[in-house]
Amino acid sequence: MARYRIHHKTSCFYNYPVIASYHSAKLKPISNESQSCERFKLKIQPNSQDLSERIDYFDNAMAMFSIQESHDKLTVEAESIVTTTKRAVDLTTLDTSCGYLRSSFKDVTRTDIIDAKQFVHPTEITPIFPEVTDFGMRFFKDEIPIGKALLEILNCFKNEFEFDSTATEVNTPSSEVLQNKRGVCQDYAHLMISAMRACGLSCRYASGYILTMPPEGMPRLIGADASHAWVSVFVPGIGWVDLDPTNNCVCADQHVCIGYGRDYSDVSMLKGAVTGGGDHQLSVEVTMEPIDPSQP
Amino acid sequence: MENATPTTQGNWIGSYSPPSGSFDEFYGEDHTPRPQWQDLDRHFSKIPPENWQRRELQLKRLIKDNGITFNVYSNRGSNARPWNLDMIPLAMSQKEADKIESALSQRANLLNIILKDVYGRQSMLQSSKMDPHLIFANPSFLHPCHGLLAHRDQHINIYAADLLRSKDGTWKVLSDRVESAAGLGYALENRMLMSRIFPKVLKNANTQSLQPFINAFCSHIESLAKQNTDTPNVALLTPGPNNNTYFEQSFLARNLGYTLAEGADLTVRNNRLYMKTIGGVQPVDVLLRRVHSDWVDPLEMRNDSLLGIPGLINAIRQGNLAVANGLGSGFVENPAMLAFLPWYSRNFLGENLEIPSVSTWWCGQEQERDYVLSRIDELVIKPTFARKGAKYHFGPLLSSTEKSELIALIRRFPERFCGQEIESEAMLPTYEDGSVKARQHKVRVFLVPGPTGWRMLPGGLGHYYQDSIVADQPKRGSKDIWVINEKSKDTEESKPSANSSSALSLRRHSFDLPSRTADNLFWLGRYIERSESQARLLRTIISLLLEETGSESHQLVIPFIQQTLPLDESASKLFKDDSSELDLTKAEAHLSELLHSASNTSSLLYNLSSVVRTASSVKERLSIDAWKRINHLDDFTQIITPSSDSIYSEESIQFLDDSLDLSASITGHLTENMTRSPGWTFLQIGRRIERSMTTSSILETIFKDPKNYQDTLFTRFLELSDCSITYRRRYLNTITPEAILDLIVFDETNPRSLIHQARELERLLTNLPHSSGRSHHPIDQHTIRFFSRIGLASPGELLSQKGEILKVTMESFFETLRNELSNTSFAIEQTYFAHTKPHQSSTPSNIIGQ
Repeated sequence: MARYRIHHKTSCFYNYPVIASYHSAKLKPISNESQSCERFKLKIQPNSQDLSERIDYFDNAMAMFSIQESHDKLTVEAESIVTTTKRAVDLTTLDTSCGYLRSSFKDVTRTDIIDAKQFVHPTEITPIFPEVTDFGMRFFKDEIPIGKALLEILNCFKNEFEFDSTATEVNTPSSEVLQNKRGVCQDYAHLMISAMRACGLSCRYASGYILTMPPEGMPRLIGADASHAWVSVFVPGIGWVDLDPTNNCVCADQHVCIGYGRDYSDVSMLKGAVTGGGDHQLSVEVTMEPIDPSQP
Repeated sequence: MENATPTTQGNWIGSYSPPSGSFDEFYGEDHTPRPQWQDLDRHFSKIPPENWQRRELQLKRLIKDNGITFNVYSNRGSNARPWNLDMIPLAMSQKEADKIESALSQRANLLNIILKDVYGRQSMLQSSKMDPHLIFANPSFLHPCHGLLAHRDQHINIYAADLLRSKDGTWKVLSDRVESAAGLGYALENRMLMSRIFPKVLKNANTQSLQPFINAFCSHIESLAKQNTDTPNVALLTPGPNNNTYFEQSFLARNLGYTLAEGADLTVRNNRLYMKTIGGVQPVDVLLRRVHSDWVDPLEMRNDSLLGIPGLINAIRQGNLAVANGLGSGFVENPAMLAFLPWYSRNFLGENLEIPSVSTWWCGQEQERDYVLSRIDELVIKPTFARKGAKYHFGPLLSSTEKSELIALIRRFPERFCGQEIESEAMLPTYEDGSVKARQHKVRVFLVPGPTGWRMLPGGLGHYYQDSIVADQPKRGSKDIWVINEKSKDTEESKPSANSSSALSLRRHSFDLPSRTADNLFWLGRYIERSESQARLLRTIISLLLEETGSESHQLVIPFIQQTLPLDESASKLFKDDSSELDLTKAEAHLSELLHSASNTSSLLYNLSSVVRTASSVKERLSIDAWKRINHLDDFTQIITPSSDSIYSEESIQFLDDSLDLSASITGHLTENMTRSPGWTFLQIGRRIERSMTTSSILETIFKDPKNYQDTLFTRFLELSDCSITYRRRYLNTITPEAILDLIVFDETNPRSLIHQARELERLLTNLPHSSGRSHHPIDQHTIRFFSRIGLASPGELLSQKGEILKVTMESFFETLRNELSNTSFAIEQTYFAHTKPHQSSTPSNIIGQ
């Protein structure tokens, strides 16, 4: 069990004044059986007159607002306090075979796992590439237990891939990530999702934060953290299991989740449509600090 | 060759011989006309063959003059093709129409319930008969629309179905159209055309009028308004003039009395939709939508959409706006839906479908897939979901390699394909080149919901094909559908007129002029004036160069050539090296480019194309006569090819003359025959500003240099300014700089003078909303300054200086005038058009990862 204060500030600097802008923000950590968002505050500057909150199709909190005055800078600050009780699932105990899982998702009569079935299909960002399908089939063979397959694919990410924040852009296709074996958390997540879906399995995209440890003897730096992405795999009987292919681990109480979707576009943290503005520069500061669970 | 013989009187149907084995609309089993055709047959028989030909010409002309088009995408800017309507309608009996109406009502209800379910409880997913693939993998299932409750659960407010008739005469549904239900505008337009070429036949054949349906449609659309208001504001959202059915959208809007709006005309503020007009923003209550759901809101849907309005979906969600049809309606349009509709019908209605679909099988089911594969030679294979670039594969047309590739693909991804029966289609008579031919056809019909159930348009949009639709070939032409009331023949006289759309009432006038339209009209005025004055200038220059040779006369032409260059460029760049003489080769090349370069934005051709472009985007505001001229101009600019023709060639001179004629006649029609609305005002303001700018600029060039004070040059200048006659009447043959300056700057009675433009501008501006304010608006401040600068000067005073001081005086006088004009223009743009700028999308990506 852990408790965190998370401060997430996004600033957008426009080259020309923006006359009007419309935004959606998905920044509020989800509350579910293993995580609870106790406090959440969203600060927007310049002021918005029409901030509203809704729950989207995938049960994520979504703030919507517009700014109707001319501005050349937008800041969106989210502050939350979250307690998580998540424990890492022991993958070796997941002995359902990949073949059985696959046929379950195909089985029309299995209406009990309907929620998981919506994460079986390719999306625009996670299409089916033959080489990604082959990559997936290396692990998710019919007779292999799902837990073993997951352990192996995590190992593969650990041994064969290299974290590289310069290798990819937002739209880099997963086939390219697979070929170059480089990327950031979002690329790892999309590749794993694509591979699992190409193999007929259910996998969703998770957006959130991860606790980082300052170098030994150094204090925690404010704003030095970043948002994070990982995946969540459905295993009938167990439910959703969150895995972090970037850090090669099963998620526990060091991950705080904001929301789940089919891919990045479903949980994009800040979206906008602006009139005017020209190009823009972006700066993001995230601080995630553990706080005393007993503190009010 | 039998088919080519012209029809003879009494035997209009003459050579019509439908192939045996297919259903024929005209002849019954006994080879006599079916009952619904008998009246028509009688009336058509009275029309002699030469009248058929005359009416065909009349029809073609009506289509051209009314600018009835559909757009075909091409790399050339203008891509409108004329509409094609056949002179012979498709007759349908009232009884048959009633049967179709009743069957399609059930279907429309069912589709509506399916939409309500998929965007609501999703109970269909609880059934083990419904594969969730058809929902979750369906690109037309739009997540942001989930929970967007439609007003009284009515997602479908206009339903269209494509029907075809199979061999045994039964109707089948080929596809359902609810995402945008296009075609109603064309159906109305077709009826308007038919009522022009066959007014008597239409009436005497007892054809049902379309008007009651249109009234029902409007009252239904208006009843969707969520705000309590008697006169809700309705706008029709169009993707714009480049959309392939833009014509019918603007026609429909005009005939329903709703404002046609592009995304840029609308804005969301405080979760409410507004129209941007010259009178400020005005709320919109109902949006009739012709933009695909995917594109309506760049914030929640496709973020690369420039056709939508950011925040629109939230405005609907907050209950401040009704949209017809409901967003995400395209869900029920996929081919796979046809395969499951009988299941849905039994499940949701407890009934069997009253009208069958063309048989369709989804290959995502094992049995169905095997069946489709076993009959692949006879079926058409369609993608389960409409995707970019996805094609139809017609079994009978596949080569053996194509077939085996397709089979492999179906086996690999069965869920992506549907197999569908290829129905042979019914035949009907069409009039082509003087004879009547048999063609295959299908029809699109339209239904609206109302207090007493669904109601079908007693008409529709027919299409016929060259041979058969098997090869998915392009449509050959359209048909009006006449629903014939056979019973009430006796009460013929008491029936309401069947002439539909010409009689449509234009009862609504809710919005002020949209800002974007005002912007376009303003620029239309400027481009027309610019083209006209440029054509005059080029004609003057060319005739000067033609008439005289030798350097002296070239000195005469230099001030005019200077006028063709941008302000910061000097004519000396066209001189021979180290001299002040014109280099003819350079000058001619320059002038040739100014005439007909398509890429040079200051060429005459470019300006004429700009007239067409801006006029097209405000087409619905122009009179038919003005539009006719714009059409001519469009044709005219299309045939001009950037040629290496000498500027002295006959073609070039002809080009200039035609340009002048055309722009003068457009100006005439726009000025005389357009209602004196705010739109007209903006157009005239544009013209006045442009004319003042041109005039003051050429005056400056000529008067700043006494070298130009020569009779021959002044004579040319007076001709150019269209003031020779006025001048001669006043001053006879004495030409003095004072008299000329007086006539063209200070004489209020001369409609070409600068002061006259100022007066007109001032008068026009009082018609605009800002003038009702108390304090002086920036627009007025600039015009007043323009005015007073002229008022404070006199020809004598301006000309009293010599040499360098004269130059400076003239330059500063005319520069002040030009500055005030541009300031006026800028202030108008800021006040009335500024909020029409398009938006752009940004998705800040802030994931860096750990």
